[in-house]
Amino acid sequence: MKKLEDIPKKDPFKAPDGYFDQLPGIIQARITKPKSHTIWIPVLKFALPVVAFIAAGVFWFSDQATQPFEDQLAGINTEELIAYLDNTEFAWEDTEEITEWNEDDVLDFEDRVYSTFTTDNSDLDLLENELIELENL
Amino acid sequence: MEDKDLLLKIRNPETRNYGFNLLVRAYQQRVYGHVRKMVIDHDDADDVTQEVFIKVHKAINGFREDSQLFTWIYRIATNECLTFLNKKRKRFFLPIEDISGQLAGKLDAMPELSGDEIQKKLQKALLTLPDKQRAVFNMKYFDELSYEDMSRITSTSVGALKASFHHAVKKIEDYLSAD
Repeated sequence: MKKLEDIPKKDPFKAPDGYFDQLPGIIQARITKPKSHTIWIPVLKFALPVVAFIAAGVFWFSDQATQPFEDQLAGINTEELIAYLDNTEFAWEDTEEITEWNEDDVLDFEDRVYSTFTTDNSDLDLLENELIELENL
Repeated sequence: MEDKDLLLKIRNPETRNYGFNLLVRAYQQRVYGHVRKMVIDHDDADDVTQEVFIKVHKAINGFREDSQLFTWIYRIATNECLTFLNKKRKRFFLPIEDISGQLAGKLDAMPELSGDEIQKKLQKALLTLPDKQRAVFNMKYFDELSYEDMSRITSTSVGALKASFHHAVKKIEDYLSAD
């Protein structure tokens, strides 16, 4: 039987040359590495989905708000719109209260209405004759 | 420099890095040697040794001077080795025998063991031991630690350590006599 004490005692494992010169520096670099990176990773893991969710919400609602009025109107079902108008008492008084007409607005409105008339002198003569005939009756 | 002076430097914020650098220089060879005998491969030993000192750095403020600094570091190193080997086994779904075979293959590939068949055979015999018993054998046989220090390192009674070492020697001699 082979005895352990017959074998010369020696450590057979050798580190590569220069290993122990470099190791303290490597360890020093690891322990002095800024910790912010490792601290922020767990925070970001939860914060990023929240930020992404909020960004998606902002984008969605801003997109809704900027959609052209005509497009929004086209999206409404005609039958639903008629039903809504039939069942809703529209208060004209409210709109009149909101709209304030001054004298310039009235004159401007008058000009715009008159400008839509396409009359020439013959029309005016005809109207004038009709007025005379009415007066003679 | 004595451990007491090292600890004073480490506990002073102004000299902490310098003091810890001195600690690494003082203990790196013994820690690496212990780790290397357990994990066999140099790259693995390098990783584990670095982790040992990172853990020492993190825990040094909690070190109570009722034990020697060396036994405290040795305890961390032993635990790191056992954790590393367990993880390795779990990662590759290997039983004890297979990881021993894998490590024995690394021994065959080591240039420093080429031509020294008896040392290679002794190391292969050690790989047949359970990890904890191998650690006990290495501490007693190669590092020549006292049973009292080993008891502090492993939190095991001196009697149990003596029995473990005795059984380890028996198994090794059986292995060496096998062919």
